[in-house]
Amino acid sequence: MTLGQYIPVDSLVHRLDPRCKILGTVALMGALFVGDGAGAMGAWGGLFFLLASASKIPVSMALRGVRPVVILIAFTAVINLFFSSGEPLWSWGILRVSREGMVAAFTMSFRLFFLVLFAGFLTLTTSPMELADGLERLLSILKPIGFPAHEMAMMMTIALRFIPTLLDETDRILKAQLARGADLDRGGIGRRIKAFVPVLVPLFILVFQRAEDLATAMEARCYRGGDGRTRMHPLRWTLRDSGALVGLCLVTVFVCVLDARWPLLR
Amino acid sequence: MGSVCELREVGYTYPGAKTPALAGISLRIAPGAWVALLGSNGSGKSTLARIFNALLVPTQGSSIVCGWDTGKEEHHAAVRREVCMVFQNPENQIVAATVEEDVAFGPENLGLPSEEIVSRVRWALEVVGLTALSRQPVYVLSGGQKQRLAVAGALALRPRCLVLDEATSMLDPQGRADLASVLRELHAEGMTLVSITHRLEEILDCDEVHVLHRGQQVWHGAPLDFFAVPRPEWGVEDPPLWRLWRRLRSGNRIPRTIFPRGKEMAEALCPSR
Amino acid sequence: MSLSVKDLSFTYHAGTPLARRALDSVSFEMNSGQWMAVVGPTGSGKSTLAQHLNALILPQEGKVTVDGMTVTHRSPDLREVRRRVGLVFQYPEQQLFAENVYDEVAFAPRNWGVDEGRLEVLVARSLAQVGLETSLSSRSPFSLSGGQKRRVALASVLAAEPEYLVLDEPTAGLDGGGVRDLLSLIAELVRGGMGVLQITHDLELALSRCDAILVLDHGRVLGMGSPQDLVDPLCRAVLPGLIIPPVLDFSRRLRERGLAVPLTMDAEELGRRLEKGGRY
Repeated sequence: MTLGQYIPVDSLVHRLDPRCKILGTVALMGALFVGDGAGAMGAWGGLFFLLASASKIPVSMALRGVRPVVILIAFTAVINLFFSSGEPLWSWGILRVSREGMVAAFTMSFRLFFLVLFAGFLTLTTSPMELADGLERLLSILKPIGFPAHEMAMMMTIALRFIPTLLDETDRILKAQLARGADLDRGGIGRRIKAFVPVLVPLFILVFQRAEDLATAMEARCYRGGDGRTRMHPLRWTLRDSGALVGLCLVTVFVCVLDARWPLLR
Repeated sequence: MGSVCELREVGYTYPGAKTPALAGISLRIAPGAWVALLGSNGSGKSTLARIFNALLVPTQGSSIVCGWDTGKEEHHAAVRREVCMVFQNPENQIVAATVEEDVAFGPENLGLPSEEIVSRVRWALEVVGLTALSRQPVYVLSGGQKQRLAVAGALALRPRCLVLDEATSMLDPQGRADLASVLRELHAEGMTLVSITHRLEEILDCDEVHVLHRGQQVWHGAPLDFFAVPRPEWGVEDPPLWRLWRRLRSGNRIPRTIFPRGKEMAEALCPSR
Repeated sequence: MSLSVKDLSFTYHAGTPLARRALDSVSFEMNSGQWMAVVGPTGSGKSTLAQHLNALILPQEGKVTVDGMTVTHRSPDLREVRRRVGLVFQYPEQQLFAENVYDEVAFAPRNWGVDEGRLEVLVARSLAQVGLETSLSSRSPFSLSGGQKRRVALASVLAAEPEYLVLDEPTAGLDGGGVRDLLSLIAELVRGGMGVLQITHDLELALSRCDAILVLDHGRVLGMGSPQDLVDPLCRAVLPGLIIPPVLDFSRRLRERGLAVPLTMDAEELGRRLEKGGRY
């Protein structure tokens, strides 16, 4: 099961503190909206290969993460290419191809492509537990204003932990209802949604029961919220993390500045 | 050393219920004992289990666990470090995504330093025999392995007593056998155990038996005395081997100290040379 | 009327690195009015087999035939097969969803196209079969006790009037009394002509009450036959996860020590033989 896609390998990127990786990913994503010319895209491509080798993740595997969104990217490209405003270079009925359209199609699709790709690196190199810890530590800055950082991280961890279980249970309940003659393939949207009630209701009940049982178990195991809680593997920010983050920020700023200065394709 | 648990005339009524789930329960659990709490569904045994670790507080009577009065809420944290529980559903008590992360959950809640947590996790997994699966995600474990994981999670808190609330009900025979051997080992090391169950073969390992029926304690005593008399009025089954055991016993074919286990009975009937 | 399985094989995730052969050339036949037990350690393929019998899974290799109808991808009889072979999963109370017991039990017959007039009869009959009163029809299934919920789930499968019933560990999680009641219910159904295939870990049940036993291990049939045929081989084969009934195990140990007693689960018979004086 490749959910979360985490691939445990010992690499430079894997060993970075998850907070560094989260902040780095956010920085990259921000940069994708500023440096979006053709030259910048080339630079991001280069960065991708650099990250792949630094994290010992095969390029093919990293690219696989984009597969679910390929259709979305293609759709975005098509919409922008044929339906943008601007001086039409070619038209046919409601389809209009303009220079602006071509640029927009290029920019939007590559931006989406790299967004997913770089986000993928985060999940490929960081285990779910590390991610939750990293997010919790980062968001706990907001604790003074009442933001429930720990609770959110805990919810995320628990939700992720139960996904395989839920999938199994959904399969079982689905089969049980099919065995009783349920037909989930026929009819329009309305009928099909109604046909799923015998699957959804039992699932909800299982989930609610689970929530209750789990809360009791957690209480029995001395859980009292985030205060005073320690970790088996606490996060340790090192010089390497600072270096990586600063380095990444410098690169992205550099690329964005160059892109603004010499826009290839605007 | 004082009792692990002392209940005096304990009663419990669920909020909004008309009849009490428990009434007039008085019992004492000695350190190092393995106590079986027997009863059919509806006898109140799960309610009683939750009184041991202060998940429920008696609505009548008093319960003192490891010297702490569970009637006072400020004592609950201390009680739950001393008495840990393994629940019936293997799935719904595991919090983390991997084996060792889940065992660490308890110690993390106690705020222990990370080296201490690492060593406790390692030790607990070793005791239950799951060391080889330390890094595995929880969903690859069988039901029996999940229950052993739950035991490890409880052990990591270093309790004095382990309460098993129908921990074997949802397991297959292999899972039950594996869990039983872990418990026997723990008992040999001096851990106090309370097994809440309706499975009679589990009594064979215990030092003391308490029977609950409709919320009341109807019998308590030594296992041998329990096997000696069938008790259908409390919804307790009478296994065929026990009937045979009684027959052989009363005919003096086997000594009165032998338990109704096939191996011991066969050895007693025809001792090997 | 029979249900037959011939050389049935099945591999999960075939062609991927995760491939797992769950069934390997399984063959057997079951008739109406027969109570067959399928025993084997966890992971031996029992659930996979069960799901083949009512066309939830279609055979990759081999053949499944129910009352003359073959189960294949293009078979027009698939729905009929699914109706005829009722499948009750483990912990069936987890599939309850309706607002009231009536709708829960009527769910299957409604899906099979039974008209509303006949539904009332079917629901009443199914509830009676599982020992529940018709007055429960208007109650929510979630307001019932655990044991009652399980019966409602069972009734909901019986309401489709299946010819065969496949039960996956029907006694899981029940206490002694619950197990006894459920087994009498099943015995009654078998007496009424239903062919019952029961997946179970309980060898005592299989040997004492069933007409035939199928032993599976790692997807393969290790043995098949009547309880009398299988008692001896089962005692000698050490299958992990299959617990030999205590009295049977005791008689086996006595025989190993040279005592002239039969291999039996009958405690009374063994007691008599021992009292008559088995020689040491």
